Amino acid sequence: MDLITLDNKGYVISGLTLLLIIPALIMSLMLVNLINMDESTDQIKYDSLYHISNDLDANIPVLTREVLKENTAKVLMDGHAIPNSRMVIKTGLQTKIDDITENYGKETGASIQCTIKSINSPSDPYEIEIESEIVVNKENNSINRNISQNVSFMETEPKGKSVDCRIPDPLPFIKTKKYGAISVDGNRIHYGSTLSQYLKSKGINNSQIYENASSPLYFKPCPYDPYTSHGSCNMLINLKNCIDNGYYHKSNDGACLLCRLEGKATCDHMGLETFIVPLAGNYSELNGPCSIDHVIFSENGPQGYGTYPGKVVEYYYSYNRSNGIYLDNGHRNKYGISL
Amino acid sequence: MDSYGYIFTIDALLSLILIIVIIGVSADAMDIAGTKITDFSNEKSNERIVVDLAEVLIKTPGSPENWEEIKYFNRVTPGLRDIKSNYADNKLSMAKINYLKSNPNLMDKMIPEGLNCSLMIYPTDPSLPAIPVINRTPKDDSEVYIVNRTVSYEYSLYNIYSAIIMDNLENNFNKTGYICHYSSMTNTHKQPDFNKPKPGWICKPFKISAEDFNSTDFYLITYPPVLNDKNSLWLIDRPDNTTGSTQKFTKSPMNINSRINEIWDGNGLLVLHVYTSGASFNRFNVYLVGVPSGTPENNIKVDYIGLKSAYFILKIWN
Repeated sequence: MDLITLDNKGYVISGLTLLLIIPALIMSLMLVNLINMDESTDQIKYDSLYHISNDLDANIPVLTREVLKENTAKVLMDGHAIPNSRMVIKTGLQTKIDDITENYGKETGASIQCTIKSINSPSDPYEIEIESEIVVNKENNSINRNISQNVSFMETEPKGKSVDCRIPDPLPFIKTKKYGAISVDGNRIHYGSTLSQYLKSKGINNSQIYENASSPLYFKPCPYDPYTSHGSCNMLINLKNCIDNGYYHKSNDGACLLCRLEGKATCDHMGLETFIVPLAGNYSELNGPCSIDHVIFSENGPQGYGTYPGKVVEYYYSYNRSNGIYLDNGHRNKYGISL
Repeated sequence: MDSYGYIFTIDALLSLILIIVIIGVSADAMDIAGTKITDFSNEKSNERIVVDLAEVLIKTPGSPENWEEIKYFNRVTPGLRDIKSNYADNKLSMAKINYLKSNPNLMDKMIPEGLNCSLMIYPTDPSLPAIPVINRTPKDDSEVYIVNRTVSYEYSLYNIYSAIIMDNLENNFNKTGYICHYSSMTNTHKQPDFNKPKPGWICKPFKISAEDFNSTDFYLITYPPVLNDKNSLWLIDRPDNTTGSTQKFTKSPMNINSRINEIWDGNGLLVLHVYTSGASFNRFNVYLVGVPSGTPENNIKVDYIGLKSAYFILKIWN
């Protein structure tokens, strides 16, 4: 019923129609507000997806170290190299990430996918480069991030942590596997007869020098930097302290960790090298295979080895026993030891 | 026009007036609603800016990650997260905080024109001083938007060159122990054993850069400040220069500039050696810290060392 009674002459809008316009206007305003609220909700949802992706991002370095530790431990146990270590590490990491994303997806109600795209050796040999893609979807919102992280596997102080995160050097175990077991004592590898047997099998002269030799077990960066400071002091005391503490040094020739897992002593990436130290007193020879690990284990020469000789460097003498290593001119220069 | 000369009927006139009144009221209502929407939108926008800004500062190390080491910062986006910490830790780098403090215009690049901001870090321990990163005060009539987050940080003034922490040492010592030159040459610096107890030395290497050497005062700080282990000793030397003699911990903090000046050779490794009687209940911690030259000695306290929690309070206003 019309509220205002009018006849049919000349009236465009009836009173009721007019009244109907008002709620229509109010509803339009409400609709506009609703759309704005939806936008705010969308932003909040996007933030939550971003946090999920960041949590995954933070987990990648921890999981990478776990996978590296598992694989190096396996090599230490069986002495078998891991061909295509990058693919193996990538697969191991992907499996661990998948476990996390599945559980995380159930907790958050989001569809989470983290794909490890590649594992590489960066310019810092104490790191591994991980490239990954994280895709998170939830209720029509999605986020896609491509991430590149350099994960350090360097020994750090545990500071009371129960988990030992140090990564051992797998190369000596792979190279000497055929020649008997090598023993580990704390932070050092003791080769017994294995290393001298290994060198002898290659036909390298004076291989007996490395009877009962030892080398460090864990990767630890040398604080004597620049490296020339090893030899620039009296009595080579810095070189002795470096050897006692089992430090590693950056090297263009030495293999990176991933190539070491493959059983390679040298590679094209920026790598590491350390000293393999003959037992004190074994210096009846003035020349012997160079005491740098990538030189001793190198198999890149025409005769099946790339080991070259060095001259003895005696860095400490006590109780009628001399401690020394053999270094070629190139490595003498690198460590500041006079020729 | 009817026979009386009227264009509109009275009904039509009344309707017209009613329509004009309704349209007028609606227009006014729309205007009010529009103003409110704009205000709401601005408010939400400013809220979002302050929240996002806090997230960027706390959760990211900035771009590039070492922006605090760069002299020219045209393309720098500051972030305060300690590069070595995890995303979830909310741990800030004091080097980045100090750099932002001395270059507050970096923050102005992160907020829209017309807005102003302040950033304060208040330690939860009231005995520690607050850090005014961007110290500005809003006008009385400004509408201020605030974000308060809990963060952690290592106290600003100290650069810890070496720390010997004896807590839980027996669990980790064999894994982390540095073999010092005395230990390997004269067999004298044997490690302590708190279980037996057996006295011994704990030694740690450290390096001081030329830049730090010229601008830093060096102190040894112990915790507790007065040691119960009356036999404790310290020594700083180099593997290739062992001319120093052992000294007692006479007070904390103890200025050791003279010893560092004697022993520092430009780029070599220095070693801090600490002797303990090995009594478990007398364990102590020793920190070798560097503070900016001229820092008053009473500002150097063991309480300031280590990870501290704090409130990160960011304000923006028009």
